[in-house]
Amino acid sequence: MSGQAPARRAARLVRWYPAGWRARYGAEFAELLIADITERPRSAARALDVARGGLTARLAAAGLAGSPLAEAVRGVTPQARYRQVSASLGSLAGLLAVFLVAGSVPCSELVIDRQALSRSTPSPPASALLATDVISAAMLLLLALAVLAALPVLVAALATVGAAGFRRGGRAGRPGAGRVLRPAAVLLAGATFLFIGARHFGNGWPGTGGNGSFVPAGLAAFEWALCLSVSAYWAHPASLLASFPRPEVYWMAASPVVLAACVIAAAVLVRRVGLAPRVLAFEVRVAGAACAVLPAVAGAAACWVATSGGRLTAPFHAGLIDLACTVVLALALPAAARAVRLARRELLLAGGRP
Amino acid sequence: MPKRDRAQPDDETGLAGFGRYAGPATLILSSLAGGPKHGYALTKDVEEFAGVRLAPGTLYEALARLESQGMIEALEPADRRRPYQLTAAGAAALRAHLDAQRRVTDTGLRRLRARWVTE
Repeated sequence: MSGQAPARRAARLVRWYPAGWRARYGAEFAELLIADITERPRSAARALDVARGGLTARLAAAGLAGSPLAEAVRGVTPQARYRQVSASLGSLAGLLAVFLVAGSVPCSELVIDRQALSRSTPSPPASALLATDVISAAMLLLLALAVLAALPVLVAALATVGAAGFRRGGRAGRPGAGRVLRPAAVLLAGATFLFIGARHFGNGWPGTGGNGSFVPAGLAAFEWALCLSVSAYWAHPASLLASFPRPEVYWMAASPVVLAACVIAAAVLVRRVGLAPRVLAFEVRVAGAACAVLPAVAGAAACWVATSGGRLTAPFHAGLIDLACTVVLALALPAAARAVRLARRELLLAGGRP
Repeated sequence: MPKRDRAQPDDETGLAGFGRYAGPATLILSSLAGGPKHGYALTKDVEEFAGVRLAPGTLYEALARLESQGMIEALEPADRRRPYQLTAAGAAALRAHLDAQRRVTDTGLRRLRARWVTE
């Protein structure tokens, strides 16, 4: 083995860890790895251990895992704790977006089926009707809370951009305009694209709008169009997908990519915008309220999937996509709860009031 | 020469709050009780006195936790290797932990001697 090989392999392994961790421990950790690789050139256990440690450190940096590890890297000053609150809230913003998309699929399907039932079937299943009402109400509430949480972030972003307007970089301790402007621009452009696209393709909404459900017609159509990409149409490329107009297929391909870009930009923006402690406390309260709503979405979806029955042609039939969305909701739920818990804890330790 | 204790690598009872890292943390603190060491020296020392090889990721996760709890502190790096040393808080935590372990060990050995081992 050449002298450079262990160093190259060590450098590759260190990349599992986030930038903050690498800045603090990277050099000494690489030295240890070089010595270890020289002594034991092949070790799957070492690679797995480093990968696990790196992912744990990344979760800690994202405000989703144990704070002792994060504290070791970022320190325990109030400013560091406020940054950690922002990191948890940024991750939570991403998880809420996942919830809104994965919850929209069963929600819009249930609303569509409810439309069909009201015209054709005299006695719809009570569990499905209850699931429709619960998931619809929870999704509307989540949407309202998401808007409530986004407003102060947008105001702070605009204020940061305005304050840093003609200044290069930004003062020490304050984010520069560019660091905030880029994610804000991506978020704004992406949200505009998604809004216009969902409004346009919402015209193909199969329901008649709100009949038998309290979801407003326009909102139901918007929601349906926004999550059109998460559908079973991809599983039938020759028949069902080919029957779609070309622009709609392009929309189904582009919208999830744009949505993912928006989620990443939102998470980055929350971390970079430097919210004031009072605003952070407000955001943590809103996050707590959102977290209290999440089990209703996941529970209603799970209840529907569990009681839907096996007939493919039956109304309120839940397919594999719905099962997958329910699993995603179930996985995102504890992560979101953990993010809120860690954000509350850090806020309290920093002296703020959640 | 300080007396060497044989730490239990799978011990999870002490160093409250360390969870699955209590074992590695005990080994690291025990090693640093003998003087400051950098990562590789720590690994070799622990391997020698406990027969356990701490994997690099596990070692640094435990080091970071111990440092954040004020049980060890980093010294100035020498040649990209940064030594760590035990603090007074770390020494107190290690003593309390090992005392608790000794009570368990003594009880177990006493009962073994009484009912299972003929000497």
